[in-house]
Amino acid sequence: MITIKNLNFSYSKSRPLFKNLDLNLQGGRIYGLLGKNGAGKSTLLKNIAGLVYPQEGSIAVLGKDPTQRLVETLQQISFIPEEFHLPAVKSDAFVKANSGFYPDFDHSYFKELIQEFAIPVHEQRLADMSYGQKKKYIISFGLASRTKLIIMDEPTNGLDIPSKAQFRKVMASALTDDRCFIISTHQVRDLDNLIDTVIVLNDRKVVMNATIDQLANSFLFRKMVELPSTVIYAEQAMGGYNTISVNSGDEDSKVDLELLFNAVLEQKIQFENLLNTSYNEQYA
Amino acid sequence: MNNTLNSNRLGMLIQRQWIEFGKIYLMSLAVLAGIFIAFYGYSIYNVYRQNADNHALQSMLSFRPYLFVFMSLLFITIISGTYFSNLGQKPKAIFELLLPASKLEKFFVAIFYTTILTTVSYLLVFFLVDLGFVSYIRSNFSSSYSYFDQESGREVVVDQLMFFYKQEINSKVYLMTFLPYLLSALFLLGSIMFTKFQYIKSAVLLTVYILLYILFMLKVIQFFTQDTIRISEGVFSEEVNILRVICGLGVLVTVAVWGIGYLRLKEKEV
Repeated sequence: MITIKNLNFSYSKSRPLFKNLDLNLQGGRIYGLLGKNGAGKSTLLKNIAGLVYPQEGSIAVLGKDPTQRLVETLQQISFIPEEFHLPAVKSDAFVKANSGFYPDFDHSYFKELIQEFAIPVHEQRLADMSYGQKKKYIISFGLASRTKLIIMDEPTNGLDIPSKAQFRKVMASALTDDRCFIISTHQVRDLDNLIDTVIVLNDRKVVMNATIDQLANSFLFRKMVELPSTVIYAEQAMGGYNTISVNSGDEDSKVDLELLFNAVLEQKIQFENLLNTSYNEQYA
Repeated sequence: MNNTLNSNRLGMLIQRQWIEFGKIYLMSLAVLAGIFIAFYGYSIYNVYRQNADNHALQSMLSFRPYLFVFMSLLFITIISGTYFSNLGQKPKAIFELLLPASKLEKFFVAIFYTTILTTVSYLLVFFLVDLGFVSYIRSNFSSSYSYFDQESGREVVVDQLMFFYKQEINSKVYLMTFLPYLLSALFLLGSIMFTKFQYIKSAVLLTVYILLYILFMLKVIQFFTQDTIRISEGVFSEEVNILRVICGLGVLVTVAVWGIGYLRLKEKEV
């Protein structure tokens, strides 16, 4: 669905953000895009949506160059940015003015989502809603557009705890084989049980692109009282350590995204090699 | 063609734009009407104060052409200079740029709002205010006087309180009608190019450019014509021909600036 080849991008010449970045994203997946502040998560999303132009390299979204901003491409992209603006109108007026641009917009699904998220669309104008309500509204609109690509930048920012659970539920049920969701976040726990592929950006490139299954098959995520020598990464926790070790015996464990993310950033070379070795051994 | 220009999408874009732009637009029209009313009101007040003598009546509405031209240029540049200001604000710009409509459609809608709608609404507001006030004045004062013209041997009637739309306009003035549209195109370009204070930046840049251009032209003309005399009566010896050339060039430059605006919109990044 999305092919990025040799992407080079920078806002200033002295500080390149991406250098020779390659990435392939497929339909039917929910990608979690992780990275430190300033790693370029939002910029990568903007590159994919065609909001900024790469200095070198190519990006193809559904086979088209997103920088062309062709109508047929835009009709298949929903972008939910971290900061957004909603006009001072009622929901009906907003939907009437915008839904017509999306040929597959599903009005009944939109109403379902509005009810699910309990957004007070009849009482308030959109601009008067709280940040969290606005966020849920815009997520609902994006999902109801039935676009093939949904890009979300920090979608759970501003959502309360029940809304985050609702968000995960709604997203999981909205995924189909021909749709691709990319969710950028620094709150990895919000995406627990939702994403099926983890992409980690660091040091101007993608340092990890692996499915949750691959990670669970390759690594063991355990809480331990003492640290054995087989542990490749550990963080001190209440009553012991949260650890990652190589999964040599096909054991089951739940991928701890936050631990994984920290491990990737701190030991990225060794970790990447381990993942590749383990992955190659299993699928060769 | 369906992907580049679709009448249905154009209609939807105009409607959508009205949601954001409509209230501000109507408010600007209300302010405009207020300014016109203030000028007319003050003028009538002055006539009453001076006991409606003939001189006061004659000068009562002399401000109209100046007010009409000055406010029209101000109004059209403000509307054009702020039209794409959303693109300078990241939270708004992302939605605008990713809205599934072609760049050409978005630009056509901009032209519709900044020129067609602005011209029609401006004329409507000005003429309505003029119609109202002049009708009132005509009902309270004697609007016309007559005298006998010895040369023609006929009685001539002079209407001092004519409606603005009925006044005769010098044909040369029509050759300058490109000016508001050229300014509109320049300010529209400024609203795309600049991310903040679009109107002020466009105005300052344009003023500096005009000043430099005048200085440059003065020097060039001085260089070529100093210590020379004109010996032939060419086509440019008539003022109207010069105005025709200016008008032609003005139209070309306006279209060219719109073209540049379209290209800048196409390449706009957030």
